[in-house]
Parts: sequence; structure tokens; C-alpha cells
Amino acid sequence: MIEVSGDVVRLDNADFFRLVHEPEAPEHREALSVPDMAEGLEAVRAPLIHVDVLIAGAARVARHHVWLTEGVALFLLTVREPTRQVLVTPPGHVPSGLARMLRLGPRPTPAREPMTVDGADLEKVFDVEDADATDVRESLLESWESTGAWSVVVAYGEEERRTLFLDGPQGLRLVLPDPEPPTPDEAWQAVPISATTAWRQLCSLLPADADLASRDI
Amino acid sequence: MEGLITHPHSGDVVGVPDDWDTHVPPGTEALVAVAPERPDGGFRPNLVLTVTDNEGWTFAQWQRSTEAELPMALQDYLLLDQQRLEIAGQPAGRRLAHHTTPDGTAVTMEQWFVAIGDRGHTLTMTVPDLEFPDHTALIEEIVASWQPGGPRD
Repeated sequence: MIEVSGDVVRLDNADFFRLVHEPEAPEHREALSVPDMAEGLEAVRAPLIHVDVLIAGAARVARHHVWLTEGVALFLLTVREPTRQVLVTPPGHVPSGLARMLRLGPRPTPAREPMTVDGADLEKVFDVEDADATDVRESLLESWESTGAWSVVVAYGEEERRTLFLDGPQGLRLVLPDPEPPTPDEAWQAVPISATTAWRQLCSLLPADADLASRDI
Repeated sequence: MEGLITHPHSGDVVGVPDDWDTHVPPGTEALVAVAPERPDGGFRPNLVLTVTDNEGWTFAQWQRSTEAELPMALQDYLLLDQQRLEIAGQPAGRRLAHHTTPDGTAVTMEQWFVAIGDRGHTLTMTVPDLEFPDHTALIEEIVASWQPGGPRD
């Protein structure tokens, strides 16, 4: 069942992919009347850039997607299982869309040291297949003084770049490969950052050489 | 980078790049400096210096009022960061926010404000979101040059 309200479309995953691949079907007429929806669906079929966002808290891991072409970005947001929400925006609105998705806003910035984070533990926190592992996620997040973790993967051509954040009552951390890891593939450093630095990261996510229309606005 | 410009009413001094246009919009007490026009006609990064009469208001009241007004005045307003600071020994602060301009451009606004006596001095820089990281050094340079209320001895 597809619900259209103003510029917002709500549906489940199966209906979304039917909409993407059979846009001409009669039941999709109302959804296609949303401004720029046809171009947004084309972005899903043939993306210039794909952004895969995982937001992990103790209770659940939510996955969101953004597909972009030069002129349009389509957000597929997980509202609550199984409901998805589709939004179409200009590409230049992707950073603010991500900021709203991540609930970025003012955070405390107490003086804190960088913290080493185990790579395997990070993967456990973002394991969408093991969505019921609340105890594991709660315990790991607590050990990182955090209540949430964000993974943003940007795929562009052959390149894929992942940016990781930890969020908690004491502020944000950016998770970077450890410059001096004891085990080269496993250790990460979680460096305290301000919300301003996090915003700068979000604004830098889209590849600088992608020819996005909004860069020319 | 820059030449110093002076706010005609408050005496605030700030440095801006030499090729930026500066003017006082008619009917306002704002000093505006705007980056050169782009070949594509796109959004021009800009700086706005304003001064307000805060007589009878504390710094906290002034800023609570500003924070209440911004979401009503600016489309898609999203507060991203804020800090309490001191500038020249006076209560001050900084806020970072996103909003959308009337032509649909997603922009980042970084704003510094300080209360000196009964006057509130505010410096606002606005750039497109996707260009915010590229403007970090320029914004820092402009803010470092700002002398609210006039040159400091």
C-alpha cells in the first residue's frame, strides 16, 4: 500500500522497489505526481552516487539510503519497520537531510581523549542481520561512552568511502583508522569532535568531482 | 586577503576579501559584504554585520529571542551547533545553522554575537552547504579580524 501526502510518499520496501522498476504501473500514478519523483526513481535505477546510512542505538539499527544523480537526490528513510518514507530533494540538500536523519545538533564538548575502538566490535554494532542483539549493542555503546553510532558509506564509481561517528551525552566522536594500530586492520581511534566538525564532515561527503547541479547554484 | 570595512553606525570593523562588494542596504543598519558574482549566477557567500538596541535585555534574553525568531524567519532552519564565548571580555556566543534561501539553495550560516553595553553586535557569514568546508579558513580569518564596537587599543 502506497500512501501519498503532499510531497511525502510512504510505503514498504517491496512496494518501493516495484515503484522503482515499474513506475508506469497504474497504482503508481499518484506517487509519480510528486515533484521530481520520476527523476528520483531514475537516480535509484542508475545512481551517480549512493549513500548508505546505518544508525545504531541499543534498541535497533535503522538503515536509510540516498541515491543521487547530477540533478536530484532521492531519500529512502526507514520510519519504523516495515514503513519507508521517500523524499526527493536537490543534491545540495543531502547534507542537511543527513543531519536531520542523524539528529545532528548542539552537543557538549568536554575535554576528552581519543579512544581506541575495536573494528570487529564496530561491525557488531552495525550488524543489521542481528537486529535483536540489543544487549551486545548496549554494552559496546556504553563502553564507548555512547548511545548511538552512525555509519555513512558513500559509493561513487569504483570508490567507496565510509565515515563513522559515535554519539552520546558527552558529545560526538569521529572514528578514524588508528594511525599506529597494534593490529593494522582492526584498531580505530574515536576522536572527540564538535557538532561543527561533524557538519563539515557531512558537507564533505559528496565527491568534489561529481558534477552535481547544486554545486552550480 | 583583505581590506578593513567599518560599520557606519556601530563602528564595528571587519576584514573582507578585496574583491567582495560592500554596501548598506537602504532602510537598514546592516553592513553587507558579498563575494563576486559567479558565471553561473549561483549563491554568493556573504557577510552581514548588524547592531541592535538591547536596552533592558540581558545577553541571555537577547539570544533566547533571536533563537526563537530564526526558525520563523529562515526556511528549513536547523540549528547545528552553538557555543557560549567571551569576546573582548563581554558575553558572546556562536551558532551554526542550516537553512534554505528563497531560491532554494541549501546554505550554512555561522553567526557570532556579543553584547557590549546596551548594543548587540552580530556577524553572520553564509555560504552554500556543499562549500562550507572550503570556506573554513576564510571564515576563521574574517572572524579573527572582527572588532565589535570599533578598533581595540
